Amino acid sequence: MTTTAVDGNAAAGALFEAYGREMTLVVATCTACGQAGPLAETVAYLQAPGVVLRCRRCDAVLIVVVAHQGGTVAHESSVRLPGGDV
Amino acid sequence: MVDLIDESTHVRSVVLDLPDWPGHRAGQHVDVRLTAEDGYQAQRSYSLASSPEDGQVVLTVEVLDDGEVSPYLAGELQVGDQLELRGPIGGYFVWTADLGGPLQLFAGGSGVVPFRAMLRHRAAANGGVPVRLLYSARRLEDVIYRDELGRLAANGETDIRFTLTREWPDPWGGYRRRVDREMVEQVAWSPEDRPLVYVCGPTGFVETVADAMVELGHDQAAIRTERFGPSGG
Amino acid sequence: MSFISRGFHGRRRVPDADRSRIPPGQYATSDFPVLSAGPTPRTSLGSWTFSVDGEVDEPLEWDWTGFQALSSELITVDIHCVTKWSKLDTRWRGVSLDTVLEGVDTAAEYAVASSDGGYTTNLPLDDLLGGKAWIAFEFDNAPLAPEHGGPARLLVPHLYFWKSAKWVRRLTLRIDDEPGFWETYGYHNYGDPWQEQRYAGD
Repeated sequence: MTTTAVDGNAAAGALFEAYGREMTLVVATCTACGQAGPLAETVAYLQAPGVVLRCRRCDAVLIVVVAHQGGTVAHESSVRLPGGDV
Repeated sequence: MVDLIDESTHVRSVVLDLPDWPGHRAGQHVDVRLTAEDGYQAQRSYSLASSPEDGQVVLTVEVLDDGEVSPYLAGELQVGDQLELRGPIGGYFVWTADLGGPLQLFAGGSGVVPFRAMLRHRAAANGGVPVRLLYSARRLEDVIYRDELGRLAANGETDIRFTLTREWPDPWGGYRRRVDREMVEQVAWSPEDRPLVYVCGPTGFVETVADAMVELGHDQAAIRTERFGPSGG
Repeated sequence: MSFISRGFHGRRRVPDADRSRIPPGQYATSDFPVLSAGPTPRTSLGSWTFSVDGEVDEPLEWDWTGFQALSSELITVDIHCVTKWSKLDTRWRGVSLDTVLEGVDTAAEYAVASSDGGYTTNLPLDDLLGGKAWIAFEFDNAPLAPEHGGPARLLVPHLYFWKSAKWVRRLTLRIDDEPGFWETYGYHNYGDPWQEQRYAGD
């Protein structure tokens, strides 16, 4: 196997740094295909310059977390998160 | 680090004394970060093997031959050394006694680690919740927490089944193959029992079990998975 | 704040590597780590094509056989990943972008490389020309493995390795610059490892 994919719950630490709170139970909706579920159930790629969370159904990029000296930033792509976040 | 315990041929537990530990829930993990003298860093995530009631924080580490962090934790690290941790983290692959049961646990290899925390938490909460565990390992010597699991099985509180995929002792009363749908059907609670299902192990193991459980009629929302990547270590 | 982990050295580090060849903040490794932001595509050679489009009079396209017929070069270069590993003296075979773009008349100053799976990265066109960039299809005398970008990847060793797009299928020449995948998510638009241009603003 050459896949480096794990579950979104493995990205809990990176998401916590970016959002300042536990995020893995937050229900995310993929705006590409409509799939909805907790971030813990997305597909996470951790072996990359950032942490990439993709939709388990259609592979669309949902969130990319990039950490650098200035802090950790979550870039939301094809995703809708519940309102009133953070 | 206050103690090192050999759990099996390739697995060691690292016992930590963390005075400022905020407490955790069974199934949560920590990120461990190592820093070399020249500034090089490596980070890995490990499930907590201790229950919240244990008083000590225990990481159980499988040593991967070409690994980077695991050989250090299980080999180089000495009693008295310090370790940089972030956590506890994760709110998904978590079981607390108030969630009830029954519990259906599937462990592949060192995927049993978070379940040890759950089983200890259950015992500390005075049991009650019925548990079934299927644990897949290559050979008996690779089974982690063998004595502890044996005691739990012997006193009848926990239904633990093993499958060994490479070598079998003689005699051997457990399964002798990789997990498959038939095995899942035989060991698992039925969908009418509405078990909370936790599956932890390598990707192939997790997907076989999770797919089988859904096909058998279990509610997808009650199935929680934690896959290992091949790139850990 | 991090502290030193006594006795930790890291995996397959090359402590005696020639520091003059290691950009600031990098560490030499003998490993070839696999980094990936998505599933590994499996494109058969029969359906593989490579095309050049955008600001060109006539788009170009090769199939695998046609691309292999272009003159290729053996390349030995040092590569530098933004995740801080560097690997010295990596050996590749590939077709120079000078060859690929030979005869192309364009006013473009930028290029976007696009890959199977949707990955993109942007570069100034000048950085692809002058013997600085290749479409590589062999690593260490063997076909390039899928996890390392096979059948073919861009190889631009003077920039951080995320610019060397795996599974590359298309080069789009552009008048204006358009950030690619990591460039959109906060990584540096150019990515010179010797200037340590990791993140936007570095």
